[in-house]
Amino acid sequence: MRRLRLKSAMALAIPLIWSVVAVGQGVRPSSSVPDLSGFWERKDDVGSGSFGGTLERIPKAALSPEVIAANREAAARQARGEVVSLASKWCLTNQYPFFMQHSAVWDIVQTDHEIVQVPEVHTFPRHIYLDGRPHPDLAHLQPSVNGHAIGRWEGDTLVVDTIGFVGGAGTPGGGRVGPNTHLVERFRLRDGGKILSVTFTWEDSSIYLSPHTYELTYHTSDPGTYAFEEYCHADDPVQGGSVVEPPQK
Amino acid sequence: MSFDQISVHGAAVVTVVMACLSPAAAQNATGSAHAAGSGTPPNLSGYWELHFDSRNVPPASLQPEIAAEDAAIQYKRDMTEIRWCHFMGVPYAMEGSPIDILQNRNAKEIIITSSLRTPARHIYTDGRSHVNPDVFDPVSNGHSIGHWEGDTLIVDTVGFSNEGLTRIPGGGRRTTGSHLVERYRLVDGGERLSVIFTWEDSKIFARPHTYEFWYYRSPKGTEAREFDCDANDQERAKFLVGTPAR
Repeated sequence: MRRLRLKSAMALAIPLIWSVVAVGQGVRPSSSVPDLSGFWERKDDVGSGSFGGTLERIPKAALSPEVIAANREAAARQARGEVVSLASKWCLTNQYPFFMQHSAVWDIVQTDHEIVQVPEVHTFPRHIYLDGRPHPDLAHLQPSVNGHAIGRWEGDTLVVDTIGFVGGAGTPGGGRVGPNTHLVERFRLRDGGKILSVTFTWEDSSIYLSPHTYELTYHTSDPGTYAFEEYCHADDPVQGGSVVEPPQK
Repeated sequence: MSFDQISVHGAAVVTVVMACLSPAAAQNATGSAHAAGSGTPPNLSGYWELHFDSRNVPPASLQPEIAAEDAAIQYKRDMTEIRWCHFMGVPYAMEGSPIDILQNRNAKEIIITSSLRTPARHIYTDGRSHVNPDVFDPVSNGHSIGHWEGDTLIVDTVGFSNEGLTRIPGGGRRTTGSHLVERYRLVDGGERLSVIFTWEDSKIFARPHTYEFWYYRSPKGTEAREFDCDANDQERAKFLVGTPAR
């Protein structure tokens, strides 16, 4: 079991404060909160003309000098033809928040005590606990692809607090996710329930100079939508050849 | 719109880290036993786990040509799936412990997630039919629709692929022609969940193959696990498909 090494008092304090708040709250019954359940998908609702363009509208993250330097170095390596990620070659599991910015639909199933987001892309379901539990003791929190997520309702808004990421994913706006990263999301229905707005706020003093906030919107899918499974076969020569390492010098 | 820029097959978006992730903590919550005659379906939601006495699995009656197959072939195929970290699908998904069942508040869908490396199961309970097989791409979990008969949830699944771990408890394997019917029912005041599985596949079974699992409600605090996997871990690959050391 790997322990989280929190490097700053800030990173330690936020989850603890959240835990105290969460414990003090009871579970709100289904009838009193919005129903987020169903299939959701992103669309080009900002008129960018391409799906990638929708992410380009997201504000650039204020990154620490160390991260900026690391990004420049990776870009330079890539420009030289070096491989900087073998994720697709080995079908590695996509980490949060990848599926939230992907074009594939994802599904919410909602109960009083838990919400699960089920993406089609190659990753695990994301469990959000609504029963008032706190985050686990940091000494026992084992990092995961989706992190440890607890949620509570503030009026018609679901507020989700996540820590415990394994780290390594990217975020829109040029940021990244590390083992000490703290994420707060606010889920809220708009336009009579046809649109789901999610506002992300990432905090990590080793990555961001200030909290990195942006909003993504999702449209409800057509009735009768059903889920696919995305399969990735690292033993398939085509997939395995999706990234070809150049001769090493 | 071109979505290629953020395709999951694209190399640059995510740098992934492997980890065999942990259990943790919590839940139970809903899952009270059905009040007879209430008209409201029982709530199966919650975490459920298999214990040592959870399985009643008689040997399957296999077609002669299936029974005559070399068991080593199926074993090798299964180990290859594990070695390459493929997602496993049904029925293996139901052997995870714990599984998490979420019965959606609008009664239109039930999700089952597993601690194993497998996609979540979607069981549509909104009255829809199976998707036309002419347009449905088979998947490892198949296409599942459910309805209630009294206090029992009946789940009907077709549209299986040959992906993942295909072996079926008791013998035989899942094929694209397999048909699975499951019956979910709370017992012991909601502390246990009985699931009766019946597989039909004329190419595999001489007659329908039925077995039953009893899942025990997990302790409060149980949480989902993620078991990640690295297909590029060569030591792991050697362990799985190599000859065991003597």
